[in-house]
Amino acid sequence: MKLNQIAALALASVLVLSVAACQSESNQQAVEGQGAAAQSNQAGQDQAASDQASDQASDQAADQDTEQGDSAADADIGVAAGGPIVIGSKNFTEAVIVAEMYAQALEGAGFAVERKLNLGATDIAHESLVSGHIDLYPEYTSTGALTVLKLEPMTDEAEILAAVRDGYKEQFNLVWLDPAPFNNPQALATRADVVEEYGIETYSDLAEAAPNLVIGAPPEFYEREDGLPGLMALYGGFQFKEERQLDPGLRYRALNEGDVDVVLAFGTDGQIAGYDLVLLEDDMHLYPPYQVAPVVRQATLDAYPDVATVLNGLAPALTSEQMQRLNWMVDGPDKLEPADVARQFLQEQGIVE
Amino acid sequence: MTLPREAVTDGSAIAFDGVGVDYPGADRPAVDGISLEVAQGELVVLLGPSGCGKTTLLKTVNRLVELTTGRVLLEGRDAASVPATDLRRRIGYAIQATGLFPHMTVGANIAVVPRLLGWSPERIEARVAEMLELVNLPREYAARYPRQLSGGEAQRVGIARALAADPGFLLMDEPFGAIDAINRERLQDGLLEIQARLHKTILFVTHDVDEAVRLADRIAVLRDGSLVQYAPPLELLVSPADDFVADLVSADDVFRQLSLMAVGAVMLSSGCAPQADAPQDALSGARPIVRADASLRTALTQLLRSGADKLDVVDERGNFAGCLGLAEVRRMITARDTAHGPRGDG
Amino acid sequence: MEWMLHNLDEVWRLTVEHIELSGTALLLAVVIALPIGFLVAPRRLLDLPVLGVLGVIYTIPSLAFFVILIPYFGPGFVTALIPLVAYAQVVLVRNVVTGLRGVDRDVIEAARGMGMSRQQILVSVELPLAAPVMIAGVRIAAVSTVALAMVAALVNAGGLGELLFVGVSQDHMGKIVAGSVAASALAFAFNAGIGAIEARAHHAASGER
Repeated sequence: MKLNQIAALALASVLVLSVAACQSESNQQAVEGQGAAAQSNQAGQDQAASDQASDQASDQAADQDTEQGDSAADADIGVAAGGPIVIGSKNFTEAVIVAEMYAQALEGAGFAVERKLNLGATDIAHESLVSGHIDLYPEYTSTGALTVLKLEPMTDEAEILAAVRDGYKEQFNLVWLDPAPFNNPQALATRADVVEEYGIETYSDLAEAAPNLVIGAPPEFYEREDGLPGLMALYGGFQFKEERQLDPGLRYRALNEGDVDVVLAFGTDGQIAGYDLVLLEDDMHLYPPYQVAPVVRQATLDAYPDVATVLNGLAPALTSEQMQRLNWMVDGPDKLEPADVARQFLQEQGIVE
Repeated sequence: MTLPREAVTDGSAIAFDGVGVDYPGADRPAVDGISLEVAQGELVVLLGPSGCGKTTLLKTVNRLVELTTGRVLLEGRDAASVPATDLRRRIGYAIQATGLFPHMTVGANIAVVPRLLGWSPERIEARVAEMLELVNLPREYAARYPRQLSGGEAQRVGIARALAADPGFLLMDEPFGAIDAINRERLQDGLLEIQARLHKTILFVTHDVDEAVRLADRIAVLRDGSLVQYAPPLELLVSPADDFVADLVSADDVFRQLSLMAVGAVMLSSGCAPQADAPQDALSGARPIVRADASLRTALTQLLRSGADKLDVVDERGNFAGCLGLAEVRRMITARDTAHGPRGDG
Repeated sequence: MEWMLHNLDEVWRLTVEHIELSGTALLLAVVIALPIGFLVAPRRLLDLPVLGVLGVIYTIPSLAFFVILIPYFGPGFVTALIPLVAYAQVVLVRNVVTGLRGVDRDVIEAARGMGMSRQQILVSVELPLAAPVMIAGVRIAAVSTVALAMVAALVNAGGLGELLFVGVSQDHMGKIVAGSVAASALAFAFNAGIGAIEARAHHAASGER
């Protein structure tokens, strides 16, 4: 092969692949679009079809006008052109369970749904949503406020919700639907024997008893304002005998085996009930509340307003006790699959048959 | 040769016409205006110390080096008038390191240029066998790989490869330089045999004076890019152009001179007091035997070794031809010295 | 190990995904690295800039790559593919260059002197003789690509990383073991397979049979 031929082949391959990536999206839409057009023709009126098309077109135009994000692909990808609703999630158990619930609830209501779960970071999920590659995913109010919008921490649930609703709508044209009642803040958890030995119930108690104990948490905890520095600032004390860095997935193993005495946990972790652990009380309210809600693209809601109805209908059922129980079914000894756990729950709640 | 014809100058095979090679940034040209002609079927040696430009000059013929001034004419046609790759396929090229392709068999190596020229497989196969025979290697060697060959064998394959497409010219760049002394002599003999059979026009680069004297029809002595003397070996020895040449070829070296003279030229044809038996039986005779076409150096060595006062000279068929003694040898040397002086004057 | 043995079809499915991803990345990476290598090999001045840039690219964390790519390609195969292709370049290009430069100068001179064209020399002489080193580069790149492809799971591109990350987040030892074992086996297989090709190329290049 000549040098030129090799170079041309390489370039061609790269181009073909990039084009194919974009094409597959628009091909999908083209197919769906034809399906939608066929349905409206069956209804009988070419007039109606062109009305609907022009409505969609003007909605899209409105989107592009109001949107301050820079995703050029916005109008082409996803449900705005008639494809299935793409649901994403981050990659921990609770996120996947909740996303599965959203997906199955929508499927039960007759929507076509595609899943893109286990996205590795808030950034990845958020960027996917803004650029239209997913239509919605479950996010936590304080994560949205602190990590994405970079606001100051707040402790009032209503205040936070209002802040993220306004911020997301204005900056990204994204909508926060109703949050579930459960609060899943960061929390400090410990074993029952530690509680007995040192008589700890609250963070203030822990602040004093810290020099006797080993703590395990992810690296950011030791840096973040709402991590150990924040605790020290608000409560004083918190000088632990030893500070260990721990991947979240391994914390309970370490706690149970005595490698650490206190871990940074989430309020609805299944392991709390499952291993008979104790959540200490944040008596001075350092931690803002973390409520989960679907964050949805405006374009998706415009195309399918029922999405809001279905997901909002699901929200009230997710209490803290329920969430802990469901998490435990996946993380505990049963090791069930999140999809099955979600289905079972929806059936129990009568949201799905 | 199938190159387009122009006006032929005088039937020379290779003609260097004011050839100069100038590398940018160098103090002096690598080759500085050299003109010389090589006749058809001649073996010309380019001789000189390192850096004298002999290899550079050689490479202007197949344009591995492009000249800056002058021309190279091959059978009267300018070498630059033909695409370089075409030119090279018609000129054999053998180098010191052989450059055999390690990933190909000996046979495939030899077949390279014939393949480039589009010969048929049958013709190529026959030619490979022919070439192996020419360089005295067994036919089975065609299937061997270069790494299985000794240095001498590899060099022979290199020569076979260079001659495979039956080129009119053969360029050789110190081909035997990396070979041990014993095998080098054998390879030189082999080359002389090949030349006797094929009569190729050969340009041979070396810095080894003995090699040059042994092989060359004519020697071109180069120094610092210029041609110093261009003459047959004996003339170089007997009449060196200047001190440089004299030193280079050790012109005072009587033995070297003797090696270039034949016994037949100075022997006595009569007055030899011949042996009673015909010399062909006289293996244990009182007089040692030497052939008429042997060199005077060989004869002198025998005389000294045997202590005999005379040698019997025989021809190729073993018949008595004459005799030779120390006096004849001494007379030869004295005659030369008288005619040209120990250091010739041109 | 039990979980893995009971869920072989799932592990196999993800292994196939992983092979698709790493294999495609490797193929594309080779196609891109070859011309770059051909360009750099005769020009030593290019060594520092080209290999320097490629080396720096290698240090870009995959997460950063993903965040840049997601707005254009979204989570999925292409977003996972592009960083893998980019990371493989530094090893591949370096080996193409080293391989070509390692070809005996005398062999190339003889080839030129015999009248082979530039292209013929490249194809008939340089490539076969440089092949062992170049294929070694592919082998090394293959193993590292298999390892790096574990992060594809973070952008929903599937592969064995899914087992690993989900296993870690669910504290599911069976999945963690399955993901790790399968990935190691895959890397080993690539190494052995390409290693065999490399050995044959080596024998061919040096005229051993």
